[in-house]
Amino acid sequence: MEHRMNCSEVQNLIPQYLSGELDDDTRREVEEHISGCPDCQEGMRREQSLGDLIGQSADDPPEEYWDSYNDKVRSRIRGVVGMLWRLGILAGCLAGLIGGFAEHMGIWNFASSSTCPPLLRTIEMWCLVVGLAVVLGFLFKRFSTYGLPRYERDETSLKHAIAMNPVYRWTLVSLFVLLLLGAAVYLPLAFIQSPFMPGWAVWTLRVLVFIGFASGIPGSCRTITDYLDGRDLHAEWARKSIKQRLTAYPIVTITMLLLMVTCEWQVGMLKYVNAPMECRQRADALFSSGDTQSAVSILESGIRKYGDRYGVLDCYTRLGEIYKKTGHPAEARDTYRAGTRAYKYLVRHPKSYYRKQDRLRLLSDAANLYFRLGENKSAFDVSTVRLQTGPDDAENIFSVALDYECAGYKDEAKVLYDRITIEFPNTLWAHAAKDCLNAPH
Amino acid sequence: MSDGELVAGMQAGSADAFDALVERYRKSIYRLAKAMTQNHDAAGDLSQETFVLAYRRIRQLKNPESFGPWLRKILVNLCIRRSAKIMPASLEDHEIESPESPSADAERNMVRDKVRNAIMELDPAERTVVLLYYMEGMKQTQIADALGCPVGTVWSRLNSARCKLRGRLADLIS
Repeated sequence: MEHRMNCSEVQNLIPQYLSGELDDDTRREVEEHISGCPDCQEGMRREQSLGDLIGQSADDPPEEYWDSYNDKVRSRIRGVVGMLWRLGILAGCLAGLIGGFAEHMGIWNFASSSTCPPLLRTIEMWCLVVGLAVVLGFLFKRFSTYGLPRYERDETSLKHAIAMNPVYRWTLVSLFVLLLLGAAVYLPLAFIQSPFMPGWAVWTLRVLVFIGFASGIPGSCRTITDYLDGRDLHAEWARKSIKQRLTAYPIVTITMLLLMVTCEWQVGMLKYVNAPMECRQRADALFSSGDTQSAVSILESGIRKYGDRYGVLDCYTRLGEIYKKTGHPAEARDTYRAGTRAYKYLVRHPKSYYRKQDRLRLLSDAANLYFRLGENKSAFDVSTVRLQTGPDDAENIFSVALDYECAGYKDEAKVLYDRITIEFPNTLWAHAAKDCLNAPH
Repeated sequence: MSDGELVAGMQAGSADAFDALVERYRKSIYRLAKAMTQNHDAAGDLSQETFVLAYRRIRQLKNPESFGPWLRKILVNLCIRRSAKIMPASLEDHEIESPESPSADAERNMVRDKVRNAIMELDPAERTVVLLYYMEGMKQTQIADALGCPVGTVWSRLNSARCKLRGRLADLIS
């Protein structure tokens, strides 16, 4: 006997009937029942009405919302890796700059005592800084999604969190600042010769940082490799992305590069120029500890090595003094004489990268050597050159005036003292000049 | 072009194909996200993320013709996972959709609000089924596939939600 559906069964099937999910036989049976049953017709009408109400409850944003929609989706696909990479490079550059200026200001010295070649040192420093920034960014990204299902660990989840929650946003900003500070603090610690950093720790950190750097490169180059491989959608966007990177940020990139190069150049030059002075300081330390032989050999090797640098006269002066103190006046005199020859050579071969203050030091050292040799006329001439070279400030004029006086050129010294009192009244230099004028000679 | 052709194009590496698919489905996906969250920002965010994930997993799609249901499946999963983070509806959202509110629209807006509230009062699982079924026109088997549950569960949730909605919207339905 054929089963006939009752109202309850039909009412249950009405939604599927309306959505076309029923097989032909059942659909026909439902249709037959409904056509003769006012209750079920009412049920169907209510179901349609409910569907319409829910369907109409949907709402759309204004049309202009869609203008940038596809671009937003694309930029999300490009992901956060690129952003982190840019931040990492920026952090690295800033940390390097902070480091470079700290070096310049003499707050720390890592490049000075290292024996590795300058180029290698430079490369290492930048790898370290950038690598550190990248590895920190990478760790931050991983830890920020720690505990979430893999599905959620996509790059966009961090971006989502940042977009959705100001706490995340400010946490990221704070971490970024900490990253910068960390890089700036880490460098002097890791960069060796630090008394509280054992060698193995330094090398462990270096290895870790280089691993981080190496692992950061593939991620950051993803778009480029995709482009080169032409694998998938990334290819097309990578092309745009590379183009954008090449065209949109040239000013920032060039500025950063220039700053980086300038900083490196400054640091390198400073080390180059100051090398003889450091040699002299080492010799001083050895001499005061009683090791005269080592002090002499260091100064002699310094003179050989740094013969082309202005600061080398310092080494001659100190070597001559040591000879004199140890009872070798003839050697002392020879050394001073050699120093004056070095001066004559250096003054004829000026280097473009020397600063004015380096040249002033050279002239001051040369005058000192001539005094020690008793050649007052030469000392006077050198001091005059210094007066012409140096800045017309009270300090330089006063210093030259003292040299004149020591060399026995009292009238010339008096002229300079008078000049200081007239041109720089009410300064300490003017008071000192007055004292010199009034002092019994 | 059909979805299948566009998906095939996308799998072959065409950005235009993906753009076309985004263009085709963005309104529908946004609407569903908005209905599920009642929050314009979250809906925009979730809908964009749905496309991002679809892009990343396009090779996992076995049947290119079922791109639409597959996309909704991604969105539903996203909404479920993110539901704790999403803020409730805000008043500004309503201002977005009707910049000028002539009196003729006022009643329609009131009806819409009432329906939305009734949907939002549903249990999240029921709400999802109702929206996929009525708003997106998905079949029960597709919903079961999207949610990873038996068809019977979809059916019972749908029935239960329907009863509640009929009760809450009785005046509008009659």
